[in-house]
Amino acid sequence: MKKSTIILLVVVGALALWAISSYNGMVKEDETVGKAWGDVQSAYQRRADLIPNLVNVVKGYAEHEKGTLEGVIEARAKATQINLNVEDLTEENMAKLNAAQGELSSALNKLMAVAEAYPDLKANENFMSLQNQLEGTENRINEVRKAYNTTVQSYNVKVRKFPGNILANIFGFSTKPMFQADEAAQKAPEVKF
Amino acid sequence: MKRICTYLAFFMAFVYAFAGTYSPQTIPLERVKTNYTRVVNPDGILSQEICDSIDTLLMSLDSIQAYGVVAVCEHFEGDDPYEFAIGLGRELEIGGQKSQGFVIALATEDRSYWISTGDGMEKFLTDATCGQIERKYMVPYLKQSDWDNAMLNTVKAFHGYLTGNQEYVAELSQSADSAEDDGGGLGWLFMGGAASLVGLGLYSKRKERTCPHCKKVALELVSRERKRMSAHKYRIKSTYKCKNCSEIVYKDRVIDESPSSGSSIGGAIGGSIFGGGGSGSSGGGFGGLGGGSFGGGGAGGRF
Repeated sequence: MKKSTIILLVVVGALALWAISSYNGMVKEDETVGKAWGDVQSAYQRRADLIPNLVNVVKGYAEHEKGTLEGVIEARAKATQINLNVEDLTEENMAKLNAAQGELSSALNKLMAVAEAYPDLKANENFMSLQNQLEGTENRINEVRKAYNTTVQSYNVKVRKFPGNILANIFGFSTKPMFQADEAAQKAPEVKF
Repeated sequence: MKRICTYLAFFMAFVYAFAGTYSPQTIPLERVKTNYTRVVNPDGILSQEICDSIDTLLMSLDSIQAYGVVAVCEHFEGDDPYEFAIGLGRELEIGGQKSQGFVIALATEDRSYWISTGDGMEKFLTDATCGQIERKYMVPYLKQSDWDNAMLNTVKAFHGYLTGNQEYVAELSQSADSAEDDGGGLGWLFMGGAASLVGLGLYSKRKERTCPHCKKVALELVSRERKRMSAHKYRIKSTYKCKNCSEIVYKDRVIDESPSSGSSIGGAIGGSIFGGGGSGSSGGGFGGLGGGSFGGGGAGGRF
């Protein structure tokens, strides 16, 4: 066999090995993102599952707060309507999801603020348990969102870096959106005396 | 001289300002990492006697693969008890590789506390249960600045609940059952499950030893042969002789160990019961439940 043929074969073999390894790497990262996204979804679902009980407990003590309770139920219904698979993750869809979940968070915050005005409710053991669970769930949501962003960052780097981006284009791996800080959190609070 | 005094004063002010302020990375953990103790008490807030009692209780939980750590200092860096507790759990890797873990953190000067549970532990110590433990056994003492009793009683409650001590299980399950709870009623559930398993085991044992001819429980095993049928299936041929009527009985059993057959469920259930569901503090474990990391579970607050 000619020397040039051998060199060509070695180069082709090396390229094939690189392509296989890069492709497998991208698949692995893609799966990791999928898993992280699943965790985000289940944390949101966990929060949504807590709401009916929470509303029922509050209703028993604060019937006059009908508007706030209805706001929570409505926001929950909106938030649970948006179910995104990892394949549907685009900037636009992510913004819709964030808006719906943000609305739910703010409705829940209002509900908790209302509860402060009812000492009997605040002292209710069921309410306190639900409050603990809700607080834990909010923390979980925060953690899984952070974990999702970390995995997406690693995936996006792999997909965008040269020469991996060539393979990514060929096999249809595109960048995925990340969670951004809430707009409200970015604004400095206005303090008036 | 004046300049030196100024520098010294600045240095002292700096040292004073940061004394007793810790992050999970700066709090001394060597003695915990070497398994010498489970109490991190760098400012000497807890008495040695209490530290020893807490150590004894927490170390006895090793037998059920539960790994608890108590950290008490004056301030948490950033005044964030949640970040401190979760960070400490991650630093010690007690939510993942080692076992199902939990961290109880207290900053006496910040007047804040947090109980953080690892992912594996969340099934047993729900947020609601952690909250109840805090309200019943921790906060009343914290309000009186009785750090020793706050920590000791909290650890006693965790120990009692995890080992199925009826006093704690009944106390802590009461309202957790009526609220939406994601796994409370632990002691009763485990005891019930264990009793069912033991009952089922005794029944099948009795059935296996019953002679089909004279109906007496008098069969005696003579020989047993195991033959593989496929990668996951095998046949067990057993020969018995009845001690009562001397009848020879042959029994055939096909065991399917394929993942879809569900034959491993016994193992999974067995693994999930603390020491087979007893109320003692030894035996069994969390086998097969998976470790996981610290994902935000737990409860806490300020007093």
